[in-house]
Amino acid sequence: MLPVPSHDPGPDPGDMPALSRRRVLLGGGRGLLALALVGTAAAACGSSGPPEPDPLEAELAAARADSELAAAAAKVGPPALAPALIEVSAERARHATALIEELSRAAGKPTPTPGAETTPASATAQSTPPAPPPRLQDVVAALRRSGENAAKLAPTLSGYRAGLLGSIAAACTTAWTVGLSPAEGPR
Amino acid sequence: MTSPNQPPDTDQPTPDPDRPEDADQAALFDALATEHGAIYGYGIVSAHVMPEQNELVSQALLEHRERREAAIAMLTERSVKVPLPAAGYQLPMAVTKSTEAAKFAIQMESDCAVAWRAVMEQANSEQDRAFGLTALTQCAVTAARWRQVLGAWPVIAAFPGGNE
Repeated sequence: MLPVPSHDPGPDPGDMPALSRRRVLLGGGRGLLALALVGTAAAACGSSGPPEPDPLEAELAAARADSELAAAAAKVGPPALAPALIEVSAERARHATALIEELSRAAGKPTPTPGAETTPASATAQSTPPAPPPRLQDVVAALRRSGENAAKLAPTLSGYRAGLLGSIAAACTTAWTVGLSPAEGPR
Repeated sequence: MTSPNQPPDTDQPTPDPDRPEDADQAALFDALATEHGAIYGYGIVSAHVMPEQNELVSQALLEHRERREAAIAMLTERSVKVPLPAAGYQLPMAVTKSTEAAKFAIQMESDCAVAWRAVMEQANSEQDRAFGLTALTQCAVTAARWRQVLGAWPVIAAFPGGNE
């Protein structure tokens, strides 16, 4: 019924001069960081400070951390909640994968192979659970924070990135308000 | 999702001559048209669900109506002609039981989520994207509650409105 949203064709032409200049200044070795500035290149242009990291990097870190936390909580929490926590863990791992893809696309690099960079979240979760076992409320608090952060960031982005972060924010909010609540949960 | 009666052979609604050419306004126009369909569809849902779901139906319908009014105001402010509700809609599935009504509600919430994510991607202002985000989140939460009602698994979706 509605057209499926398409990927952002790329940075606005207006951003290109700043971007190109930065790429030249920073050289190929730091190309990823330079390209990460797509959203902020205009503001950063002219300043002599270090380039700001791609805002999606923080979202990626949060997605991985949430995935690990939920996986760890699934092992120690009430068995009835384990399936929901495992689902949340898998969902945040998928967010991490999508964010890696977008970060790679923006940096003009091929997406890392699944074995290389997309699995550490779950792999680490299995091998090194955090010292104090996380409780359900820790996962809820983390998801709430992640949802709020993504919701703050999404409207400041544009094109595909705005949509991706919007979906991630909506998913985090749904996960803690419904996914980890009993059927008679908050209305 | 509900589509206007005229084109039973296609997923696309009848091309609306009033649909704006600008991508951001077109996305908002489409979202409003989708909300019109959802408001119609929730009437069907309301008729078939169990009484225990009345509160969920009421809240969902209230949200869709508020979004419809807001979208009408946003388009009107931009001097864009708003899409009118169709005289009737063809349901995408038979809805005669409470479980079918819940599935239909999930479908409508998913369609609205797609439409509002498109608004987020096409919008030119932070304000519009924030509105799209609130709508997208509400649709995702409501869809999950319907999945809970249905006993469907998983209850949550990783990318509401998206296809990643």
